[in-house]
Amino acid sequence: MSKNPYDILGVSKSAADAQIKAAYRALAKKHHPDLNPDNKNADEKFKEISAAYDLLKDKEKRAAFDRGEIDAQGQQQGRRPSAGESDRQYYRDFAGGPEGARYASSGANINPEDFEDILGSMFGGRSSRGATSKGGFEDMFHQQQNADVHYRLDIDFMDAALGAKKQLTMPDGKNLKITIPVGVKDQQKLRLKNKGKTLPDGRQGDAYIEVHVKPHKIFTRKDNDIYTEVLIGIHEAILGITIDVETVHGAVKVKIPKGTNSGKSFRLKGKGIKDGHHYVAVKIVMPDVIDEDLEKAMTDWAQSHAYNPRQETEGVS
Amino acid sequence: MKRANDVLSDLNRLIDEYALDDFIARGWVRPMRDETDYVFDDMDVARVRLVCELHIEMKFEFDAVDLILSLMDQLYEVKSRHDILAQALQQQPEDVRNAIIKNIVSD
Repeated sequence: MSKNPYDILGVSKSAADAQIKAAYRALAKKHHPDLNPDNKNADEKFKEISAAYDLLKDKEKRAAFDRGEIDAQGQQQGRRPSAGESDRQYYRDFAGGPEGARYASSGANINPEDFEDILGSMFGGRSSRGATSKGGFEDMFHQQQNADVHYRLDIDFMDAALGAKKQLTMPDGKNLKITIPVGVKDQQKLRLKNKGKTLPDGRQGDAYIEVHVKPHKIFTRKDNDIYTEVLIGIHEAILGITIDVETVHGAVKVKIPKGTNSGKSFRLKGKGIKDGHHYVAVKIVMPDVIDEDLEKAMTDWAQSHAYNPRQETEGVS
Repeated sequence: MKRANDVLSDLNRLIDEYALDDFIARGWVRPMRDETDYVFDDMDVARVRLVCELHIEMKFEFDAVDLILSLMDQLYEVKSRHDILAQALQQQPEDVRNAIIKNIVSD
């Protein structure tokens, strides 16, 4: 009998999606096999965590599990689990082998026969042959790297959110047409294939454009979600109102219900970037001048009602 | 050997081709390339998957992923050297091994 996914992630059955995600992230950081190269149990543990998260992040699967229709592996009760994740190879499965040298920090291949180099680098001594002995792949890779060119491009927030086409003039006077993909992130690098330098042997490098996204006046972005704030008057908070909220896809009508509190956030589904949402938080503001009418209305109300929002916290300490 | 598109399919389109290019531009993933484009072996694919988990799922920012990968690569390099040395020591006559162990323990 496999363990309950809620127990694996250490969350309650009523945990919100955000709590489940946070629990998964914390456990994944701790148990990822590539970050625990010598821990043989990390593989099993991480698989267990991933399977639990895959089940609980999916609303339908989670509901089906809660109803007892599927088991902790996401299989219908009574069926045998398929291979799925079990045949996954982690980076650590390769990093320890000879091919792992490709990603080694020094970039040098380690030849098991070459003790002098190994001991030299291990104990800080000097190798008689230097550290330039690289394989054919390394040569090819570095040459290719040299043929690549790198640029920086500042773009507007809205172009990053919705995508755009831009033209960039290169130092050699040539123009480069760039398609900014929808939802590009700040500092993301875009590749323009074969737009780099041409090497003497005819090989063509790529151009890489590092995108810098300028901040927006009203929108704040987190991943693909957009956050804004909307100001409403006290009368609007009390009586309710329908207002226009600006999103990256244009204005959207939002109904603020009667008696809405300051800080209350409304989710505008699908109005963020790509599959993200727009969250608008309400902030109640006072009129610049508290006139006689308002003061009288409030005084009358206060005299006939015994409302105290601090009732539960007063006298606690 | 796989093409970028196959790698993206393997990952159930968790990332798009622009993100994969970004990983390569940062040196996080270093696939080989032929005349037409990049080719990914199994190790590259495992590495892309790891980067996705760090950057997309665990939400480590660009700088943090740089640091993690750099430390991880150094760790694997040291581990690889350690394994080679351990293997070499294993092949020594028993008295040599004992002498070395004695030396380590007495330090």
